[in-house]
Amino acid sequence: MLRPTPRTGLSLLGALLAALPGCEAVDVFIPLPDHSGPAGVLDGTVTYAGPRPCTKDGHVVGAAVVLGFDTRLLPPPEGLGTSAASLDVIPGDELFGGLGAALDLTSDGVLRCPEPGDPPVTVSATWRLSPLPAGTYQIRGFYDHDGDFDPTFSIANLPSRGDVAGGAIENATEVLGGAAPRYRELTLAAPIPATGARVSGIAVTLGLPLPLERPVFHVAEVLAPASGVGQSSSEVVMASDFQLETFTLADPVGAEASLLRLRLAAGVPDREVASAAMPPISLPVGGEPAPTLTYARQDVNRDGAIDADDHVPDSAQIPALFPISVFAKLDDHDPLVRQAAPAVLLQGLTIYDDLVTTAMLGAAPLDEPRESVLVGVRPAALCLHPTEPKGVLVISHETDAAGNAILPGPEDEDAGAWGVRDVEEALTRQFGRTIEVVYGCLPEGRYALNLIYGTGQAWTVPNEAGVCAPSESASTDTCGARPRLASQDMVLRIGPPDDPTYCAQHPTPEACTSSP
Amino acid sequence: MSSSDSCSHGLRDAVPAPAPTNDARAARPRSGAALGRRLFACAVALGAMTAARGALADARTEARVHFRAGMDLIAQKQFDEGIRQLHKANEILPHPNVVFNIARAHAEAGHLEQAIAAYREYIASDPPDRELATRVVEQLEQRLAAQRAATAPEPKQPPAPEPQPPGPQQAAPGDAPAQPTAEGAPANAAVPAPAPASSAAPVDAAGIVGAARTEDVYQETVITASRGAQSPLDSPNSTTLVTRQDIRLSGMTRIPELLRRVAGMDVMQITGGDENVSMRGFNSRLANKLLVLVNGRTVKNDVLGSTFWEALSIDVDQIERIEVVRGPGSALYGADAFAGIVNIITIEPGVGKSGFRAGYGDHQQGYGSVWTSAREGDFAYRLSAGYTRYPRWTREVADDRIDLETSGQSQDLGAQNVRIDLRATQRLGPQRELAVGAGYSRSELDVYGIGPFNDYNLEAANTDASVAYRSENVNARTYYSHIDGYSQLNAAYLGHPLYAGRPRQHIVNAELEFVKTLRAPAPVVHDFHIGLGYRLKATDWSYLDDDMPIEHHGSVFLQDSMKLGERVTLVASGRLDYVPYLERLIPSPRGSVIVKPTPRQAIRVSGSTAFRSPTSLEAYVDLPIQLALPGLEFLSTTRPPVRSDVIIDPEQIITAEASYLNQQSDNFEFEVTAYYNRVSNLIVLAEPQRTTLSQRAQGFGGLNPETGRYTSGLGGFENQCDIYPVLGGELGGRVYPAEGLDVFANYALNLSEQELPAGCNALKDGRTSQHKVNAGVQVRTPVGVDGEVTLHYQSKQEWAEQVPAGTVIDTHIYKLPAYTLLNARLGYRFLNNRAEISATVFNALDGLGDQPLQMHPFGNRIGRRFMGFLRYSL
Repeated sequence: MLRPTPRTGLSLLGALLAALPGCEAVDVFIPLPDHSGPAGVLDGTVTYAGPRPCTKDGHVVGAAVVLGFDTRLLPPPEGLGTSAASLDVIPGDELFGGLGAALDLTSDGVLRCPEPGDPPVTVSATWRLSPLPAGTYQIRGFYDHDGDFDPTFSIANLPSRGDVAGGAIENATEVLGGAAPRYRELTLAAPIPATGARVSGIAVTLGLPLPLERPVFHVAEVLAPASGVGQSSSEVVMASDFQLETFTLADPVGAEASLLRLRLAAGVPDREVASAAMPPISLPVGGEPAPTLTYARQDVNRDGAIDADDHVPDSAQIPALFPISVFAKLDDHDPLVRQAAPAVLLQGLTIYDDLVTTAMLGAAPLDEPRESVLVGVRPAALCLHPTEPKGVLVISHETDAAGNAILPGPEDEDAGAWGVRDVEEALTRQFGRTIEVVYGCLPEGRYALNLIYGTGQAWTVPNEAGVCAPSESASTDTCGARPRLASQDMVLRIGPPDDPTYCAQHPTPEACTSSP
Repeated sequence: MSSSDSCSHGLRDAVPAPAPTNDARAARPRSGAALGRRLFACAVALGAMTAARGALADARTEARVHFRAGMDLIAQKQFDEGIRQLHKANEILPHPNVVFNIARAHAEAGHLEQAIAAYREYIASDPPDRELATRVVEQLEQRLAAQRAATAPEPKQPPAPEPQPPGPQQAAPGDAPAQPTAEGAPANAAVPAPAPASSAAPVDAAGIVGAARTEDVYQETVITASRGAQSPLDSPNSTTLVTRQDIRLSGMTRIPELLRRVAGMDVMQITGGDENVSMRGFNSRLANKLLVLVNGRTVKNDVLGSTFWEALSIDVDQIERIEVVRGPGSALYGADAFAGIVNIITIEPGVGKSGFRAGYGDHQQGYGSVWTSAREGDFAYRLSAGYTRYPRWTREVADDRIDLETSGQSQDLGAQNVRIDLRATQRLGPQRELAVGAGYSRSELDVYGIGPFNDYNLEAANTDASVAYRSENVNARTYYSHIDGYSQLNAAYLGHPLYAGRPRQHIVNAELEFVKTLRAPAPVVHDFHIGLGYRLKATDWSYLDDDMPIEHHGSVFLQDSMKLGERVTLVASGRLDYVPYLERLIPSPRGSVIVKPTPRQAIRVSGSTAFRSPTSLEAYVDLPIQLALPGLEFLSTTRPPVRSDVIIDPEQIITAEASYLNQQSDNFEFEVTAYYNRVSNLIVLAEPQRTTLSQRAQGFGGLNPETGRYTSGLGGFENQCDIYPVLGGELGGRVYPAEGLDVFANYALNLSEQELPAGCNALKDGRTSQHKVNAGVQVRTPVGVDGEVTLHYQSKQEWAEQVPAGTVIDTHIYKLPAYTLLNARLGYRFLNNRAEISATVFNALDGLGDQPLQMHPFGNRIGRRFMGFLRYSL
């Protein structure tokens, strides 16, 4: 009979020890590549050169904000981006930590700011943006000197007067001399390798104090043509088949009167000033100086010179002015979020007094604060998929009501008129992609009103000051625990057509209604 | 056996071929790479041995058969054969009562010398009635002396052969099991031949020794379902046992993998150090639906509500059995016994021998356990210590990643655990005992948290100390447990934090229970359990609110098991729990009706409710979580500053269950269970809400000076709005077709639906497999070779998981394909069963399917692992 034996057992033990594997490597497997897979990193040093910061309650007020923009989605006025691809924050305590005793960090609730004559300081800290997908990026930034920046709210997500702006720029010396900044383009090549990708040592310089507040505005007056426009307390409605009554160079006054125009006044109405100036809204209103909106010339072709070439896309006679006015279609489900794809924009026409005066501005520099600006609403919508190389400009009618061509055709262009080809070329240059002009009804929906300065400072209506969040109990004057500013709840609505048959024959292009 | 060398790691000589045949030789694989042929060869080898040698059936069943036969024969005054049968039973599974009955039968038969020897053996096992037994021995010795004196002139009888006792202690997993020879007789102890009977003694001796102990000592008992020992046939809940034999033959060193064979159990390994277990569905990362106990003491961590199985202070070599109560148990155990209870019962102090087991496997798997156990009079102890190392199945971070910062933990390590555990008992008198114990473990684990906390490192030191007093009518117990940990993400993108923190927990638990059996009215036997409980919970972690209070939980429970005659039992249970966070009492009732058509069949119908109260993390989380944009964060908090009145309700389950258990035959047993669960108020991560200006007006939001990031929103936990009615069932059985061969199989069905109340748009979750099948074969042979093969199948799953996406947390559906898991072990015992070497393979089918095995959509890919072990008992 067989029985267990020590000899067999020991033999098996030896065999087992001999057969056991050793130190095999553990395989790499990333179950969620979108969350922990290889990604890009941009990092470097941010150097601040400017006035000493304010302090309060033992802390430095404000923070340095470093923003990474996908070059395909640059912010206005250069592009259509609605937000940065990434954002890093260096708190003032960290950035200015090296100043030590030079900062008064007394914790007594008193705000302590430098005197105008105090010498500037230069400090630096590191910044880092990750994870980033493959792409080409520009780095911009600013130091939020007054501590009023908050990326969560559109009313606080951009720098204001006194903040010190800059970025990773190639022409820092020229910029200090007044030239427009030229931002470095930093590439994370596609595909990101398995090890990840990193571009280090990127120097970001913040040294340009911003002279202007954001262009806070409200709609003070609606100058509507005889037909095609309606309005209520919270919206101005333009029919999707809106047709200009007159649009000819021979009758500039009539052409202007044919446009829907909005007079946008700086700040908020008097009745809202007290609420607007108080936290948490804290708009720059109610104090001295009174809020203004500043007209300036646009360097459209970015050649560093203001001249006759810097005109609006649809007319060589009308200079392009700041603040740029743009009406951006809003998401159907969120009253404050811009529709991302396709982006649908109605480019406003910034008018200095009137069209004739505007056309007469010539090449002279312009830097004029005013209580209000006048913008005209072109019955034309740009439909762009932010990352696609093509877009369309849909114009509601080919002619005005009198039969004059809105944009002259190729024959007239050959004769020297500013026509369709010129507009397409101008828009193609402006947006960095091929733009084709088509005729059809405008995309219906709600459009936010935007005013944008050359510094990128902008203001949008509607915004959180006028629109309650879903979790805030809403009333006419309040949203939960804070006041509501009705003036900041206004939209332009492209409404149903007055003549549905026309829209049936000239439908809104598909590029304006669906993603590719 | 030629095929044995292909089973695992060169066990060429492990299986002496009893009858080599051409067929057996043909089973030798020509290529070692042919896994299927290997497994087939193993099966052939084991089958051939079984058929050729007539091996051994399930030990408990075999012992029971011999015990019953022996007692029947003794009752018929066929003492010699009856005693022989009892000896066989005691050889297979030693038990003091069997020795007592042997002694008693000898005395009744007039074999005074053998009776005295057997009584001494019985007394040596230190039974509670040892004083009485000692007096019996004294009387028998007097009788024997008188007998000898009366027969002095006659030639002296040759002395009876001294019986070789099987040992006073029960075998334990750490011991080599007692194994009869191929002929069924003890290998190392001959059955003592009865001495020539004396003509005068029998009647008198029978009067001394009293009645036989006929209760079935080999009947399986469970203690968890009713807080007292009872047969599964009498249990008010469906209860499954993972036995010593299952543990030893499986070769598993992970407790969750032992539980996988239980019908309806959901087991998933996410990483090498993170196993999550649930019952009848609702498994999850940081699974918290199952109450896990070690000897009745909770071992979950109250911070997360989960159980880190690889951080216990015991290992599988210290386990006597694992009781799994399938279905809610809040009626006796309060919060967290939501879907079921797993109670790990360790080997009693003083039971079993000292020994060690050491194992090593590929990818640097390591296992070591050493234990010693002894009894000295009324005092007994068991001391164990061990070390375990499991690698990750796969790792997420390659060494050359330049976009990440990593923790200091080895990227290959899944779990590492060093542990020591001491338990001791002191008998205070009949049925009175004092038990004390303490355990300590230190672990490094790679686990998967929730939300953005995937691939997470946890180092934890666990300490516990307990004191218990047990008597016939009063049981009291208190214990203290402490966790001190260090936690952080395994890796984060550069510029993002690892969220280092130090979770700590102090628990003081006290229970007092009064037990009484009485008749009222006379035909009805009541078994009363009345208890009070108190639990102090103090937790802190940098992830939690600084103002989190120390919680004082209280409870009272009552159970009355009313036996209405032999066939019908009504069980009514109820418990009230005071939950400080909720500031209210939560009732948990349970009712069962048990009808037994025969003593070994039971039909059970029961209904109950259970709840799971929010964990410390769910109730008090207060953690800024950085978003993909490094300068932004949202504050994860269930009690935001502007909504401090928010309270999360406990998760709720209502269950109705019906089952039929048949243990009528000694050759098979089976159970059928059907249940209906209605689950509501599941606690999940809340979709973050953007910060509002109203919140800014109240001082919340803006630049967080502590983190240097802007707070863009609020997150936390909330009760999920949908409801899950679940209809399911389990069918399982075990068959003993031949001695030494056990076959078990079970099937679980889970049909989970989703109800969406108005306004609720939660995604449907299909994380529970509709079909689960477990099957296995266990073989034990007299030539020293033991083995087991288990197969587990789970149908596909669809997980609705929450993941961070940009500035929000999104819920997505992740599909997980069906999978099959095949595990096997082959062992060889030698040196009189004191030594055993074995080899195991986990997930033997790896690489044969279309996709690598994943048990969770975010988990590691589970590969194949081999381990070899050496065990030695002193």
